[in-house]
Amino acid sequence: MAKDTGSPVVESRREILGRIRRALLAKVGFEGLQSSGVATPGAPGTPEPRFAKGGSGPADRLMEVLLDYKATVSVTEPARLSRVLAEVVEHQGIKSVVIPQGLNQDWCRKIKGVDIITDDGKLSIAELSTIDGVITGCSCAIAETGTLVLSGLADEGRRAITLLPDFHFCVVRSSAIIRSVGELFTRVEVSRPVTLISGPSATSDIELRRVEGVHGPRNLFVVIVS
Amino acid sequence: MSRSKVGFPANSLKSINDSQLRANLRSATGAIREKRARVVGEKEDWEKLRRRGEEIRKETLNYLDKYLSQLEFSVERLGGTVHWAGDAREANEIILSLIRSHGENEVIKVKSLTTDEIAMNDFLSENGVTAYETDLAELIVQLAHDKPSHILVPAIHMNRSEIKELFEKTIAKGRRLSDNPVELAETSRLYLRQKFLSTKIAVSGVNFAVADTGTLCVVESEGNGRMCLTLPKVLISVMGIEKVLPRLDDLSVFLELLPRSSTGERMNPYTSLWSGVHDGDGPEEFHLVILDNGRSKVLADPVGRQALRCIRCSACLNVCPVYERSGGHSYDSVYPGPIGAILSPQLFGNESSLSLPWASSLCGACYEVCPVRINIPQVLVHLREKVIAEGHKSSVENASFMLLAGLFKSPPAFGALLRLVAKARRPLNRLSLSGFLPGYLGKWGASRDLPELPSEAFRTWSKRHG
Amino acid sequence: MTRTVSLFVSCFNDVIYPRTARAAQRVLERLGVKLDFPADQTCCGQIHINTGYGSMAVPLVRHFVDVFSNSEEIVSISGSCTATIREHYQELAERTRDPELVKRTDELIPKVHEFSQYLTDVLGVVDVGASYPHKVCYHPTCHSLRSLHVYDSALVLLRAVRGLELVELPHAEQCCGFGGTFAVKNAPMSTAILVDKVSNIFASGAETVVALDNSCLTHIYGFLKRNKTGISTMHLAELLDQGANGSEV
Repeated sequence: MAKDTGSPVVESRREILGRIRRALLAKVGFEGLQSSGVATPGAPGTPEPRFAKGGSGPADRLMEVLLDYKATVSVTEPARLSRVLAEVVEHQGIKSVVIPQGLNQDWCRKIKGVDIITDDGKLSIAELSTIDGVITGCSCAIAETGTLVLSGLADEGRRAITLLPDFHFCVVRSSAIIRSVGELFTRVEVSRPVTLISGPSATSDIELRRVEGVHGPRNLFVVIVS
Repeated sequence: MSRSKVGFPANSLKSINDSQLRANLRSATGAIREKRARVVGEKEDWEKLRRRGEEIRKETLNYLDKYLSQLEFSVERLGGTVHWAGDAREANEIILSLIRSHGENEVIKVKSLTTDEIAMNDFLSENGVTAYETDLAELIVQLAHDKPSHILVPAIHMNRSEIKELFEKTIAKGRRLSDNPVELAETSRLYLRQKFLSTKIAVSGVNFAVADTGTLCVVESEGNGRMCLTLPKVLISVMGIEKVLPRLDDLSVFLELLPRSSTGERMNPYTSLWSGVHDGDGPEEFHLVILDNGRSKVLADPVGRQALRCIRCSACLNVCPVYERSGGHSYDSVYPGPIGAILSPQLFGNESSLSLPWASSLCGACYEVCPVRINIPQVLVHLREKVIAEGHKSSVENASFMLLAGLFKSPPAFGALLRLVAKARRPLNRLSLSGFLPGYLGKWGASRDLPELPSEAFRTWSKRHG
Repeated sequence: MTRTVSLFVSCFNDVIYPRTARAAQRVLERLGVKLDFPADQTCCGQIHINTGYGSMAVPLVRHFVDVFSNSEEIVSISGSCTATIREHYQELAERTRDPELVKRTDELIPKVHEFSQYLTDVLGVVDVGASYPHKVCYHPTCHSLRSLHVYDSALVLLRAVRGLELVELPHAEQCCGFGGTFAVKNAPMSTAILVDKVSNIFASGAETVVALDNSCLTHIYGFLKRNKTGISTMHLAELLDQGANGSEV
């Protein structure tokens, strides 16, 4: 920002902070910094929340909530991942998918009849928008809210690749599933951009009726690997 | 107050009699109330979360200067640029000069109440820059040359067939659409796709800004937010001074409170977090405009300042019996509903906003659902007194209340009045039936009968039977 | 042991609803409570406070505290007046900068009880011996529900009334639209809210609407009567006095 003193920008800064300080000093009876000792619910170390439905574990809960959001969910084991992924991708009748550079190539080895394009960071936005799908991993997934968390890791790629294609296939390792939002920032680094995805894009702007699929990927496929 | 010609009582009359609007609002707010109740009911620790949310927001406001300076430092360290705007005009000029410095005359926009507050679109358009709204509801409102009427769902006042007709006249000219929301959403998707791919500059609001990490957060559903935050070369985000949060951990509390309170979802479809400029991912330039525009004035009021805790979820609108029947336009402000009734008079203080503290039956439903526990009825009552103390009052009403207070202070005088009322009960009871009553009684009598007066007051009876 | 309780009737009930005050008195006396009526009581200040004339209500707070300072317990037959005392008295007393008044106010506030809560929570009563063979719905007024947190006191008492059929009021927790001077400052809005409340009362099939505040009931009854519906309204105290031994006819 403009560092030259006396510029209107710097003036505004001084002016605003000055007003805030005067406002905070003006009155007595100010609510002091009171910590009632309420811990942040859901934070690590607080008791396990009980899931509302069923007595099942985080992976089941994640699946349940994702299904509720109209995502498609498959559960498999590591040895069968490439086969399951191939089935899911091929079944959509799409021609191309983009993958981030750091994605485990082994995951995609059984996919037939679909072009697999590796993003080297040089694909233009226009090029990306012609690609049908994208396959990524994820940094973690939040069971209680059905949220996939991408944070620009090598197998997640830059944000644009999971935004422009219409089909997003996301692989979730069950070890990456956390219980609730309270644990989120113990798992992800915000020095990279972070995107939380809970179901396909949606709008409720017309009569508050939820319509799945607007600007982001309209189809979300999640493969949970246990 | 004798402000029946200006302000809420007059503004709301049209809505009260508009049966289509009433039906749209009733069905929409009813649906979202139920959704909210369901997902809030799932969280066993909801009350704890609310209390934690309240505490964090209180702490933020108590040390607002500190956290804003810290935010500025963090954002600039990560390659962003911070601008300070004392009022709407300064903010608009900063934004315009940034757009001009890139030689552009178009921007895409993510729904932002703050940019509505400063009337940015109008300012830019007067200066030759077109701002395209990309949120579906904002787009609807923009195409209709209308104003938003709800914090979360700006086009809540319109139903599907009204929207279909609008699209057929604008972005789908010459085509026949059905009124199916799926098709309507698809129409907007196709219209906006090219804008997303080609526009160089985006303007967004900010849901939260974390001081210690310089992380900005935008919460949305459609993906238009992600498009604007990711694809353009330049991103300009505008935030009110109160949007800052101290620590990253605090953000997780609000990511629980906001979606459940707002759309009634466990989590909204997309939440974007970014910290400065990220190499090879997203905009190459990031500007954060920090706006005061009256907020520091609100901060100086120890009761009223709790309005600055608001995280714009709109749960208070959805439960408010008044909002449900007046709609958002009656509030004549970008901030409608109960939160608007305490925010607008404090921020703007214009003639019509001064009627808003009275636009409530003080039923308290808003306070009950507020995720940061803003005691809206308390602030409403506080502002009523403040507005009157500042001289905005009717002298007749003031004198009547003085007289009444005088009677209440003197038991003998009060007793005498009650005996007088009892004596005059026959003519008074007949008067009530006539329908031609003066003043307040007349306004009451327009739709309701007065109760019959008894032959003696309780105190009189009690004295006799003492 | 006989408890002595002071009755706070509120100015509104004093002038328009002495019948409610008398009913409350009889119900409590039948339960062995000795009642007194401090004759100098007037108004709690709610009308002033809620309309924006809080400063004028400061002397009324002092007056209230003076009148009831010798009472061990105070029972109020108005939910909203009780809420006013709980929510505003402390702050209004502090405005006087009179530490003595602040102290006396703080001591007084917890002694003030809303009628139904006094019966169920203090006296531990469920059945007061009333009978009322009619269909009744209960409207939880906003102040009693959201300020005083009366959740089931009234319902528990109503369920024990002989012959009474408690019918469900749809959307019971929605405001009736009264709101004091709101009902005249925003009269059309107030009526619009009321119309929906009344439709719900109709839908419930009730013959009588019961609540803990005569002010809300006056608003509701005003519309029921204007439209000749034949549905009656009744404060809980009056209903609990029905059919009991010694009640007035």
